[in-house]
Amino acid sequence: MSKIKSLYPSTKLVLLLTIGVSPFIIENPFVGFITFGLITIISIYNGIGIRFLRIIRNTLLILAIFMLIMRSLFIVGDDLHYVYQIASLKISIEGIVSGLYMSGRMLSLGSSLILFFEITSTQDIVANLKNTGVNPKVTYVMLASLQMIPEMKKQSNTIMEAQQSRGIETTGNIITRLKALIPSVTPLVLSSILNTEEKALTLEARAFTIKGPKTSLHKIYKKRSDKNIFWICLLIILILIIMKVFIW
Amino acid sequence: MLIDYFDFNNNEGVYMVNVRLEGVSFRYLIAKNDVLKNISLELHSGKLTSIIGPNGAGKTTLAEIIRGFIPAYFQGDLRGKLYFDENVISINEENVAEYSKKIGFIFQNPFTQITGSTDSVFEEIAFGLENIGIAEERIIDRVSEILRLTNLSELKDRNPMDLSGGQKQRVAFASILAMDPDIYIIDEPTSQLDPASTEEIFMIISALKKMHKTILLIENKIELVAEYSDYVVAMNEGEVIAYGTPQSVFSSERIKDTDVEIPVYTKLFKEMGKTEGLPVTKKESISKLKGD
Repeated sequence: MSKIKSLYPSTKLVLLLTIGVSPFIIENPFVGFITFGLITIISIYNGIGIRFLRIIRNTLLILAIFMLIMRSLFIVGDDLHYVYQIASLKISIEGIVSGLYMSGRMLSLGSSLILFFEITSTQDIVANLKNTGVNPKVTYVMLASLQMIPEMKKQSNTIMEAQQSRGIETTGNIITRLKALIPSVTPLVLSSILNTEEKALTLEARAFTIKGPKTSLHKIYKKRSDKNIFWICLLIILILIIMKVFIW
Repeated sequence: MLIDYFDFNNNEGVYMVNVRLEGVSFRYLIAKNDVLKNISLELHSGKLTSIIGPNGAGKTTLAEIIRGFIPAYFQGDLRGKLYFDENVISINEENVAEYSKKIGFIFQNPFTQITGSTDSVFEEIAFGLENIGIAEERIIDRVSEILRLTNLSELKDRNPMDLSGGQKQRVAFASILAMDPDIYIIDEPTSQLDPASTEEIFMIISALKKMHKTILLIENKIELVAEYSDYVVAMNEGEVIAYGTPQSVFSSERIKDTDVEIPVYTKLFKEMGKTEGLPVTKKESISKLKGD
């Protein structure tokens, strides 16, 4: 499992997505949590377990819990079997099961993509896209999307520090922090758009979209194991689909 | 020496490119007024032409027109003609990429000049060369030499995204230098640099002149503009208000009541009541004070 990091980028993506999407095919509300657990184990074997779980905690986990609670309380339908009631809110078994499906699937798919981007460098992704012959403009769009969030985070930190130096309270409870953050959202988004535009010109200045053969100092190669893994993943998905159609 | 090293693109020797603008005017798509009004000027090979002027004068817009980013990327009403060596040039979305081999552009904002697709300064500088298909061994040699010449060797393994603004600016400059274009358009390359690094950049620009490169510089450090430039273009509100040697431009009456800055030495002599033979550099002013 620790060798997943060294796989070709597209192979890594196929492998992780195979694990990530299998809960969408298998009819069991707990499969999503099992595959999420498997992905977590992969992250630990690749030396980034703590970082990975921190990202999950700050992003997907809150959403998953929220989704589970909402589905448990607010699912509509006939013949619901209620198991608990708090004031006028009723929790049904069907709601819990639906919530488990949705949150499990979200955790599974989301974590597979998060892990992919954590164990694959931007340089490898760009090299993979170049090798595949993807249009440079498409490559740039993907690159810009990957970089946008970390850069917006850096900029928002800078804006918050600037606010703080002007005496605006930026730490404390969530209301205080929102009051400081909300006015800076518009300039943050606008400057991100401008920076993306300037970066496109920077790439143009470095002949990024020029036609003709390109050299690559950073080389990535597909090995036999990459091809084998690809076909195994495809086979797994096919078997799951067949089982879903004919057995489950 | 830099001049001994460069000669990649031409087997026939030195290639000189002159750039000429004739009656160039431009208005952005949603703007009411022209941001450039009837600009005519020449850039000569082996010469440094500097554009000076207050913010909003149209300096960067002019630079982007020469490079072809306007109209390829920025729509608007562009009028007039652009010549490279007496050939009328029309750069558009289809051919703008081809001109990256011929025209190097260094932008004002260092934070957007790092591509983000490389993990080291070495790879960042090599990026342009990879795109134009230079052979791997030549890329390695060229980048190694550029790192040495621009004093960036100690940063070669650092992630360029982790560098300071000044370091990013130097890496961006080195990246374009490595591509060895015929024309350099350099937009405020020293805004984030300390005095020592600023001097290094200007030394490199001097070396590029000796290699017969055509250089257009946008710069606010007026004293350095006066010292190193062969020609100065003073712009204000989209117009060229003075164009010529540093001496003629900085002593011109036409820039007197505008926001165009002049060197401190020239200002000093003007305030002393001098009107003729005004010095523009430290050396000239010392010479004048000594009565040479």
